[in-house]
Amino acid sequence: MDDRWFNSRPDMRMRDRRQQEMEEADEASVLEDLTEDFRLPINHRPTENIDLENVEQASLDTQLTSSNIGFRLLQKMGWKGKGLGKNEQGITEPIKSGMRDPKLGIGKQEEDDFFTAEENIQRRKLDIELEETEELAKKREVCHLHF
Amino acid sequence: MGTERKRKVSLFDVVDDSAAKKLNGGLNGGNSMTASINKWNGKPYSQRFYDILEKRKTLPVWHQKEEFLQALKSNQTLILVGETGSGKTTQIPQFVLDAVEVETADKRRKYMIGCTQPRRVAAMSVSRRVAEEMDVVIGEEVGYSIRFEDCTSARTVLKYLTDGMLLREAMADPLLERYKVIILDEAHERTLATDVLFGLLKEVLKNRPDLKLVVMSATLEAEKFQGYFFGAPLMKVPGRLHPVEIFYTQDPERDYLEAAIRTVVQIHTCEPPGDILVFLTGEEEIEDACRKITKEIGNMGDQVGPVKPVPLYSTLPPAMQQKIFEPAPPPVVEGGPPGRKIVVSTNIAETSLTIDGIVYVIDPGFAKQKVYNPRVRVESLLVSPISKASAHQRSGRAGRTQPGKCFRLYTEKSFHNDLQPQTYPEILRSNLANTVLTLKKLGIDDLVHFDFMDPPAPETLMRALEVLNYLGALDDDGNMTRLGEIMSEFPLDPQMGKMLVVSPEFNCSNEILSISAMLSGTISC
Repeated sequence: MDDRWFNSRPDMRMRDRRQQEMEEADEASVLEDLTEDFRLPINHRPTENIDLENVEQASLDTQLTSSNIGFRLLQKMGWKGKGLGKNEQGITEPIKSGMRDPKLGIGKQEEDDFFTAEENIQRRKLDIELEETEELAKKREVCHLHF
Repeated sequence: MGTERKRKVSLFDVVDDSAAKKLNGGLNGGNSMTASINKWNGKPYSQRFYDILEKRKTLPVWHQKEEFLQALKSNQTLILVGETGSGKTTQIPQFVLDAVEVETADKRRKYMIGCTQPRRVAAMSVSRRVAEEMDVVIGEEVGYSIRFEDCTSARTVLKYLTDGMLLREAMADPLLERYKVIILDEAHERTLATDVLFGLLKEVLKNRPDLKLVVMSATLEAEKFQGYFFGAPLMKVPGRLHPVEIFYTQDPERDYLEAAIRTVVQIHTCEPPGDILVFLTGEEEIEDACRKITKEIGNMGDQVGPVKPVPLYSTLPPAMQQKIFEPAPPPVVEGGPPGRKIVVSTNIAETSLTIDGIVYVIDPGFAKQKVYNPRVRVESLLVSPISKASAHQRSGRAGRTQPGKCFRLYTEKSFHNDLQPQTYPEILRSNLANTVLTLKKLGIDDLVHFDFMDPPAPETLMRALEVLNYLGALDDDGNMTRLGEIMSEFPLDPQMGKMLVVSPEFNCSNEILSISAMLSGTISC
């Protein structure tokens, strides 16, 4: 109980400060609210006046299809779906660029991935153990409630 | 603008000329047998010509002059591999000039030898050097041609030009009939324009049996060139390199920039005199590193010698770039620990610029690279791991003047497993809208079976065709429109070309012209 009393004091102080800040920032917040009105969440999808049924979204994993004029123009030049070049030996997938942490040296990401992978194996082992003792866990929970 | 440029050039010439005359006049008495006449301009050779000639003769490529000319005589295509420092860029075109007839039936013009360079700076500086070696005035017998600047005349027989410029010339002169020999230099860099020229020249050679092609490369990927160019003979010229010891790290680094600076400090405190070259990825990183190096070494007091960090990147003003050639600082007190110059550079110092005096190279293994993904239509410049070939070039920089050391900031295992053998050629990493427009203008309609050395991904070509169709440069059957033809005349992105072409319709050509100029020029002071 004592604990709770002490804890509540910083809470109070914090609330005071927040209130003060809010008052100070009142004018600013009006502006902020205005901008907020125009800001859309990152995953927002427009729904009005747009026919979303026939919209394609560009993605690194989606190949261009025959709906693309470039696709059809290339076909008109004699492209049969293979690579380009004299013997159609060219690459078929565009060159990919890997995302990487800007600081890491060569090989560090790979090393980290390796260790993370090892961890994953360990975690999976733990998960299996948990599954096995599910009933035990339930029992433990029940015990916990009683005390 | 044209006259301004010309004046600049002639100013340069006047200075050069008077210097040469002074030399000539001063030495004339002692060397009265300089009766030999320069066959290019009919003037007697200057003493300077002979001085340079002596130096030229010590270049490795001179030992194979006869062999080269023999091979050139009996083959239409020739591949020459020479490490940096072999003298191939300056000497080979002159050898060719000695062996090829350049007179035409029309007395006003001569046939030319063209030598392409991936970079404008190289085309300018090399041609100036060669003009000096041949004892002629730049812009007369020897000239250069780069975007926005044509420094040649009707008398020009040897022309250095950017690969992009030769491609543009081909648009007006599809069989390149003004040329007797074409030399594609630095072919290993595999720039977009060089790759397009490869395919184009293969066609031209079939139609012009009298035209010769020399492909010059610094790396052994040349064997791939050989297969591509009808099994043309390959000639190797040794470079002038001292052995370079290579060191790897024990473990991969958590922060390569921090590791690079740490290595600089280590070399400075523990290794014998010799300048350091550090490869980093861009302006901001380089300036940051220079500041940190100064600070770190400064903190060590006068126990160690002074250092002079020198940044180097392409957008740095030329005057600042010259600083890389300044000597290392002297010891603070006489007899104290010696000073060191530390050049912190992008991969511009990898092949295109040579800095003598470098003994130590630090290679974190990264460079900024262009990548284009047609699926999302985004072209980006990303920091990516370099190739094994690049790593090899970088380490070679340590052995220019004496045996050197290269510190690779990654493990030997990473070198073998994580670095790809060659950098992907630019044609696989670029938006090809402009290239497709050029190829169309050159009359190549079957882009699918065009003989690319490394054909780009089909989707990259689709996006290029798509945007050209949207802009009205190609019709719905893929044929070039009148608008497309006009657009192809501009050395600009198709979007900007179109903007210029249609601007009169909207009464804003003046403004659009200014905007295009601002968007397409590079900033330099």
